[in-house]
Amino acid sequence: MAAILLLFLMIVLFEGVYLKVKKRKLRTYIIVYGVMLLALVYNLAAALLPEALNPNLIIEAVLGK
Amino acid sequence: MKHVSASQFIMLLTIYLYSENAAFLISPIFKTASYNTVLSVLLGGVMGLIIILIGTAVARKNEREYFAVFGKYIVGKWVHIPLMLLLAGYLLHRASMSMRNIEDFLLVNHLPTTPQAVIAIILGTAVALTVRAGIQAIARIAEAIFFVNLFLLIVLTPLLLGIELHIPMLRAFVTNFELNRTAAGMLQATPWFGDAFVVLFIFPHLKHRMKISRMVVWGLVFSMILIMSYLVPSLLAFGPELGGKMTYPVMEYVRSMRIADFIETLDPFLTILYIPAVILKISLLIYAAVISLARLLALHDYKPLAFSVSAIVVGYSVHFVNNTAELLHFMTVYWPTYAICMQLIPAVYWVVLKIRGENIALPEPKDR
Repeated sequence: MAAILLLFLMIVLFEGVYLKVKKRKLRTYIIVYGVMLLALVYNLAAALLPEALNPNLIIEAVLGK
Repeated sequence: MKHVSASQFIMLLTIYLYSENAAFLISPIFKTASYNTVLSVLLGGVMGLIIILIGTAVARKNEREYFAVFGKYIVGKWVHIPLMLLLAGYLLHRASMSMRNIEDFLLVNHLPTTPQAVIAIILGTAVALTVRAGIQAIARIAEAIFFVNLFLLIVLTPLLLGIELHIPMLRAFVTNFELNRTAAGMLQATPWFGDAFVVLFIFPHLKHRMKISRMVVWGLVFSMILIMSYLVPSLLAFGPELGGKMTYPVMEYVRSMRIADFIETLDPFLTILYIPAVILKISLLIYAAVISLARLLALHDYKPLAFSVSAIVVGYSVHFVNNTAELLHFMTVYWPTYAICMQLIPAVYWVVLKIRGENIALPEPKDR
């Protein structure tokens, strides 16, 4: 859990500097950090509930072999 | 815009198609198709080619714009967005499956005491940096890997043939024909080659677009030769029963080779071939997903999304399955059907194009 948070902190800093150097608009910041938040939430949720949140379960349920 | 030349594209396609299939998907097809494996792979190649050509036919409708952008003018915005999300989901799922395959391979063969998450993070960092570097960097890496593969194919093939192979088994490829097994094998092999529908997403980056079909055929032929160079000797060495029970039959086969006292086994050479080639495949899959996502969100620079999307793939790969046996089961039973359904989504656009006629108003391409 701590490793995931640390990695995402590094990604936030890296992309933050990149966006600042490239002088992007506020809209770009919102989209980039939104996708980043989505990735963080998925990784944390998958670490907490590895069995329940596996998208393969959906594929297996739909195909139902 | 940075462009990929015709020769680079053929090499990229060759490595993209052969890498994971030759490395990790041989065992499931041995199990399914038995002696009909070679025929199944050939037929799968033909079916895969049809899928790719449908994708390129759609991409040709607007050669200078990304599919994620112009697709909405074909089927409408509210159909296009869910389909694009499904496609992006498939690309990320495929990338996660490939990454999980490498993780398991490294854990079993080279890094038994290393935590899986550490391997996944290192691979994910390499992939994210490759994606950020762009399509031209990916194509250049493919060039290097292609020539290394070609060199090793020329050097290793005579050595591979030196091992005790059951040559009379070749007869069984013809005499043991079973329609059910061949059809099931073909279903399994079709998405191996159909995966090249990723061309649809990177089409604006390709030069010489008029000859795209020819380039696709050449890429497919080269990848088929490389796959067969591993598949046929493994089948002749172990047979379909034993080969189907092994997780990595090619690895076992190469491991059994002894060429000199100073080299114990040749499997590290195989690892050297596999890892960069599969990383390249994952990079191209994530690149296609990221660039489509960026265009859907109206972002002109896709780079800031590379690390976030790669992080999703890393997390998914770790929780993909519980163990290698489950992964093999998923790849054998569920993945082919799921993959073919997703790869046929561009066919929906193609059918709509045909019904609505050739003169659908497409947006004027913007100069970038």
